[in-house]
Formats: sequence, C-alpha cells, structure tokens
Amino acid sequence: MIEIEGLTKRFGARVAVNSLSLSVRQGEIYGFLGANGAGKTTTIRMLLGILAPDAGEVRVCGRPVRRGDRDGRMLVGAVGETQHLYSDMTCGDYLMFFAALYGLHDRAGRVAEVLADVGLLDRWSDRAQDLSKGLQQKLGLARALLHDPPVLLLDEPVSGLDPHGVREVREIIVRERDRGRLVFISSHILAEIALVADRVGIMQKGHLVYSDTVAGAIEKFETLEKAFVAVTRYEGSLLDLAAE
Amino acid sequence: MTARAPHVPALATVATIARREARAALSGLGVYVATSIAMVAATWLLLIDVRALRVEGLLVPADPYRAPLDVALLVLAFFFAVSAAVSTARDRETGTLEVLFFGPVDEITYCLGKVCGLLAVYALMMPVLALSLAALSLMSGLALPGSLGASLVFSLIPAAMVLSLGLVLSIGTRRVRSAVLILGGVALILVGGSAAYSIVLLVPIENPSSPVVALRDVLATVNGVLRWVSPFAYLQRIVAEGVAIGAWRSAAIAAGFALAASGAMIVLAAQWLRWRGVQKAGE
Amino acid sequence: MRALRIILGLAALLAAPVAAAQERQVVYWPLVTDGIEYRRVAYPAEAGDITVMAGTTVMIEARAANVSWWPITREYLTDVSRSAPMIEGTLEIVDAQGAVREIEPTSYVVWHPDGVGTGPAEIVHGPRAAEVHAEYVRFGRAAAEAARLHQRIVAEHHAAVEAWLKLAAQKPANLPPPPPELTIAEPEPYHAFATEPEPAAVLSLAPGSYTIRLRDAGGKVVAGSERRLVSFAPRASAIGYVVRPGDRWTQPAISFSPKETIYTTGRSALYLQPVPVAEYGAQEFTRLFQPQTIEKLDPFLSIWVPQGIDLGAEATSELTLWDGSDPVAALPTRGFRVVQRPGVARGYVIEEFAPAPGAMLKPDFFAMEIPQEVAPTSISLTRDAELAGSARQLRRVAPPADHLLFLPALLPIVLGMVLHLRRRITGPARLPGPPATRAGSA
Repeated sequence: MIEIEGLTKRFGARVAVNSLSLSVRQGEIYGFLGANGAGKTTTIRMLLGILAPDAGEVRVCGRPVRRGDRDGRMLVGAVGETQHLYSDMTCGDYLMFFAALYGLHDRAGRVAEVLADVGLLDRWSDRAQDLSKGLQQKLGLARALLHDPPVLLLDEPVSGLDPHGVREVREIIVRERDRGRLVFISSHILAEIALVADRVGIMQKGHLVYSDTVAGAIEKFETLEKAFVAVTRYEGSLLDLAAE
Repeated sequence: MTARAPHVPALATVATIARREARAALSGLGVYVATSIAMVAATWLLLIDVRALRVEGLLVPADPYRAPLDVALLVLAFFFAVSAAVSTARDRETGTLEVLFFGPVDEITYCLGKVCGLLAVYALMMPVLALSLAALSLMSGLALPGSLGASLVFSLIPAAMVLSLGLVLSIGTRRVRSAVLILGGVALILVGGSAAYSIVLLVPIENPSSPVVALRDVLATVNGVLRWVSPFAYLQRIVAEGVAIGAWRSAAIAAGFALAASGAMIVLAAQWLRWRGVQKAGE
Repeated sequence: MRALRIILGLAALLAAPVAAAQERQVVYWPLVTDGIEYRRVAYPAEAGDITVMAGTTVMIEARAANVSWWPITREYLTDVSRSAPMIEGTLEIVDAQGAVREIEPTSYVVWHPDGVGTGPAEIVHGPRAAEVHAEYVRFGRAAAEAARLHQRIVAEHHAAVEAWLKLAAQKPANLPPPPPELTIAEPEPYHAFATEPEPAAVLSLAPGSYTIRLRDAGGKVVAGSERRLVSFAPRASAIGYVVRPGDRWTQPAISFSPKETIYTTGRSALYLQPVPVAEYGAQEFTRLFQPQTIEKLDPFLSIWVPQGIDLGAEATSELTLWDGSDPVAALPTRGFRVVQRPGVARGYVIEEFAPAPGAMLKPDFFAMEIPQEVAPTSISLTRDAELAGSARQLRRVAPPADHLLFLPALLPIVLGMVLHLRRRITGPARLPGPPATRAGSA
C-alpha cells in the first residue's frame, strides 16, 4: 500500500505539494487527478524517491521512501508520460537491460513473459524507438512489470494514445489490479479514470481538495467531470483540460 | 506490514550500467576512429627518429616510442573524457537518466557504472593500440620498448581520472553541446597551462627585472599546481615520466593520487547529481 | 602593460623566495669530479647537502663570502672574489657511525699530463704538489724556449731563402748556392698543465652520509660551518660505445646504456670505440655540479656516464659479432686514419693505419670496424669472457616511405568498420531471442 502523510515540496517560493496526505490499499486503482501544475508529477517523483520532500513522509508497502534507497525502488514499477528509450536498443535489448538492472534470473524468460503480457512478443527484435507511441507506452509498462512489483505508478499512461491503444492499456491496468497490484495513476483524462479507477483524489495547486471512491463521486456529482469542476472551481473548458 | 524489498547488490547495478555503456561505445565507430587518430599522432612523432635514421644512417635512440605513446594516450584519454561527458549529458537530454532511477540505481552506482564502462572500453582499445604499434614497429624497424605493456596497463589509472573529470563536468550541463564545450575549455586550460610554462622557459632572460622572470615564476607555480590537479598531467607523470623510464616511485605516488582523485571526483559527481536531480532537461 | 607587470611582480613575490640582500656566510667551495673533469662548486647554506662521488679525490675549502638570491637562474650566488677570504681551519668529518676524522689542509695541484680536456686529470697533493708544479713550470718554459728557438731558426732560414731568391732574380754571374733545406724537427709541443698549488682538505670518501665542520686553531667549531655531505657510488658499470659511421665519422652516436639498441641503415662501415661507463642515480649526479638544481628526479632514475678512460691502442678486448646466438666474427682494436681523397664520394676514405717505417704519424682514432657487408644482430666485448654490460642489439633497418608508415594507424578503424558491418549484416544477435514456448501468454 501507499501511505502519504503531510507531504510538502517547495521549489523556491512556489509550493508544489502542500501537506498532502492520502493512502491507497493494495489491489486498488487510484486515480490521481489535477490540471497541469497541480503537483501530480512532483508527488509521483517523491513516491519514487527521486525527489526529496521538504516535509512529511511517504511509505510504500510500509517501507519509508528515502532518496538513494535502491532496494525500496524494487517495490515500485513506474511508467512516465513519455517513454525515453535508447536509440540503439531493440525491445528485447531494452527489457533485457532492465531485467539485468533489476537483478532478475532467467532474464530472457521473464522478458518474454512481460512482452507477451502486453502483446509485444512479436516485436522483440524491433528497434524500440521505431514503435508507435501506443506500443512504446506498452513497452514502458512491460519494463515496469519486469520485476513484479507490488505497486505500479503510472503518469499519464494513455496520454496521446489512439482509442485502440487506450483500450489495450486500460485492459492491462485492470488485469494488474486483479492480480493484486496497487495501481496509482496520475492523469487529467477524467473519462478514462472513471472507467478504471476504484478511488480518486483531485489535486489543485498542491492541495488534495477531494478524495472519494469513483462511485461516491458520481453519486454526488453525477459525473467525474462535474466533480472535478465543482471541487476545483475549474474555469476553463473541459475540452481544454483534456487537451492539456 | 513492511514488505521485504528484493536486494540488488550495488556492484551488480554498476556492472549492468557499465556493460550497457561499453556496448554502446563499442558498437559505434567513434572509439575506433579515436584510436586511429591517436596512432596517426604517434606515427607522426615517430617519424622524427625515422627521418633522422634515414639521414644519419645511424641512430641510438633512448626510447623512440616514449613521446609517440604519450601523445597517443593523451588523444585517447581526451576522447574518453568527451565520451563520458556526452554520454551523461545525453542521458539527461533524452530523459533516459530519470528512467534509470525508476530502478535500483542511485547516483553513486550510476556514476561508477559510467566510469567503469568507459574504462573497460579504454582497456579494450589498449590491445588494439598495441597491435597497431607492433605493426608500426615491424614496418619502421624501431623496436617497441619492453615497458610498453606496463605503460598501457598503468595508463588505465590516469584514464579513470580523465573519465571522472568528463563525468563531473557533464553533470552540471543540460545539453550534449554544452558538456563538450565545457570539457574542451577545461582541457585547454589544463594542457595549455603546462604548455605555456614550457614555452616561457625558452625565452631568454636579459636581466633580473625582466617581466619574463615574474611570468616564468607565476607559470612555474601554475605548472606545479597543474601537475597535481590535471588528469592529463597524471597521464604523463605515470606513463612517460614513470613507467616508461623506470621511475617507479614517482609513478606509484602519482598513481595513488590519481586513484584518490578519481574516487573524489566520482563522489563529487554523485553528490552534484543528487543536488541537481535526474529530471530531463527542460522539465 | 604596466598593470600587468605589477600583477606579475606581486605574483612572483608569492611564488619565489623573498629576494634577499647579500648575506655573509660560510660557503663551501669544493673541487669535485664526475670522473672526467674537475669543477669548483659553490655551496652556500641554501644549496643543501654537499654531493661528491665516492672514491674520487675531492678538495674541500671554505670561504667567508657574500651570498645573494639571483632570480634569473633561481639560485643563491656566491661572490668568490677577493672579498671572500678562505677560512682557515681543520676539516672534521664524522661518518654515519660517529667515527671522527680530522683533515688538515694541504697543498694540491690538478695535474693534466696530456693536456686539459684530453684524458683524466690527477690530483697531486702534499709536498709533491709543489714539485709537480715546479716541474711543469720548468718543462713548460723549456718547451716555450725550444719553440721560440725553432721559430727563430725558421724565420732566419726563411729570410735567407728570400734574400737568395731576390739575388737569383737579378741573375748575377756568381750566384751562390741556395740555403740548404732545414732538417731540424719542430719541437714537440708541451701539452701538460698543472694548476697553481692551493691549500685545501684533500680526501676520498666511501659511499655514505657524513657531517663536516671546520675547527679553528683553538679547536672551536667555526659558526655556520656544519654541513651534511653525501658521497654516492655507482649503481652499476658497463661498457658503452662511441659509434662512428664511415660516411659521417665526425658525427658519432653514443650508446652508454646497455638497454639501448643501435640502429643502422647499413650504408657504411661502423667504427666502434668501447668506453667504460658507470650508472649513477640521476638526482645525485645532477646535483654534483648543480647543487641548486630545481629538478626533483625520481630516485629510481639513473644516468650512464663515461669513466673517461681511453682504451686506445692498448685495448686487449675484441668485439664479438653475433647472428642470433651464434658468434660470427671477433674484431680487434685497430688504428685508422682519415685520408682526404678528391674524387671520392665523401671526399675522404677511412683506412687502417699502416705508417711507413720511421714516419711520425699517428692514427686519427682507434676502433673496431664492422664492415658494411656484415650485418650482426648484436655485439659484445670480450676479453677471455664477455664483459658485463657490453652487449648491444644491432639492427639494420630500411624504413619505408613516410606515408606507408601511417598504414598501421588504419588498423583500429578497419576493425571498427568490420565489426560495424558484421553487426548490420547479422543483426543484433548478441542477446537471446524469445524462448520457444511460454505459458500464460496474452
């Protein structure tokens, strides 16, 4: 599980995350929502331990997250919004490299397994950079699943994908939740979150302004979009929000 | 309940990053071109003795390969310093640096992996260099020195120092081009400072109040400092002024300092990376 | 520019010792040798330990002199003019075990029997010093007198010949016969030289460290006279060679270190002159004549130095030529003359010296000749057995044109291209492909 207590991060005078507290259970999909600059990516970086908070604590599976805690990162599989790939690597090379980094035995077997899981087994020998955005996103998911972590952190996993890609990624996310993983998704695509998430939290200017189950939010506000507008007093068009 | 996180030994992480770095370097042409350029420089210097032999008909050189080997290793060391700088800057520029840190990688294992990987490639180029030198020896007739093997092996130590310098200088940059320019500038200062002293020594001094005396004394101090600070100077101290001529004590002292300096620079690079963060440039 | 000079001057003050005014101090001024020549070396207190070569005769004297810093050469210079009187006293020398020796100053001369610069010098000290000098003066004057007399006779004969030629030009009836040819030989020049007798403590030391000091007539130590003295011995000895190529005999190559290889293109004969050499620590040897050198050389570094002994015609050793491990020839030392011969390619030929009986000629040099057509792979000097340190590799080479020597530089890039092309052709095969069957595939 993920436990965040009083998490705060400042960049100069700007407070990116302000006293954030939340918890997410194992086997749950948590949608972490907010406009750009709300503090989502900063929170994810602190969850990963690659950014140190100015105050507060984060625990993943009961283990405090510390900068430089290499072992702690083995509990988390993270996928960023854009997949940054090595230009000289095939899909197989890429995953074999990370499999070695994660210290896995039978690397080839495990890589084949995750590639099959995400539907990329036949792309083993293709250059990773030549894949479409959707396939690259799936490759990123495969990398995050390599070491079988209990927690998945996904930052905008369906951003820029076509409808087929969105559906495939959604299926993977739900399947991993069903396998018992905690899936923490940071996104501003409300419709997609409404389809997969069990619970949501809405960030605005570094504060968690709303937290509830998806069913509870829909019951109160009819749709997740209305919930977002209501709690954030968002003044822009929802289409603009989706396009950001 | 606290989950037990699988443990990946730090050395294994270093080895994985090093292997990746080495493969990337060896799969390109850059390292081979650099070795060829190093050999061209060495050959050009060896020609001095070859031409003298042709003209005089007789030559008793102390070690005809001392200066050529020194220059060849300097060229190679500079290339690898640039490689270290470019590789790290590129990781940040492309965003792959942050992705690495999603896994069991921290700043020190990353920096060590980078240096070890490129050092391994440097070590692999030593037999290639030796083979080329052997061919040159066969063609020119000038025998290779018995200390060649030891010189090439010991050159790994200053090479590690040069690599570490490239790494440190690139941590603070956002772009590959900036890293190369900064490294070039620093190398110019380090090598140029010593060269300036050598040049000033050739200037005749007419009287004690000549400004050349003051300039010479200042450059002597600068040169004295550079001999302890510049990684390129350590290459000369350990190989050309040490192993090649049997000055083992000087070589051992310089090697010890070079190793300590390499370690210090790697730690500095790791700390600086920790302070700067691993986000992609522009994020 | 002025500002720059000011800045540089300030920086120099930080970098260099403070320029001191003249300081009066006890300066040791030993006469030391490197085995070939003797030189006087000044040792102000700032110069550090006095360095001498073990087993050589050294003359130590001390003077009260003015010392000042000279920035151009970065050393402390001693004014040894008349304002630097010699300090009289007994030299006390204490070795590392504490044994004390006292050496009274005695008279000495430096005697060059064959002339300055030819052959080693001898030190003659004690009562014989004055005798040697007196003998040198006597012989020198006699030789000068003989030379003057000969010159006078030659001049007179020349004048007589001139006069007879003038007379002959007038074609007189009774022309007397011409003056007879001069048959007197030119007197041998006197090359020997001896310095004026001077007082100093004359000693020869075994290798080691010593403490020296001066004691005055009352037995009191002269203030500022205590110094450390280091006597160093050779690390090894060997045989070096002066190698003269037949087509450039005035431009020899030198091989003193046994590790050196002699390279030749084989276009002329080689004339080898063996020279005994000794190996010394480079730092100690440099300090011998330059005690204030700023160079700090590694203690492992060494330098090979000739011992100044001319083997000449008395050499009984032979130069053995080897082809691999097989001896192919043994060459004795012979005398050679360089004979100018017009029409010959170099304008001269080198011939074995074979003078006519009664001729007063001498060889131009003694050497062992390796003929042009012989190409040994190594040489060594033997006298009953091979002399230690005399072996040398000898390589006859014929380097190709300059541009061809750059071909080996292409090896790395060829290797890189081969690997690169191989990778492109075979694909990224270095990592395993997917396993044949997998359970639970999506």
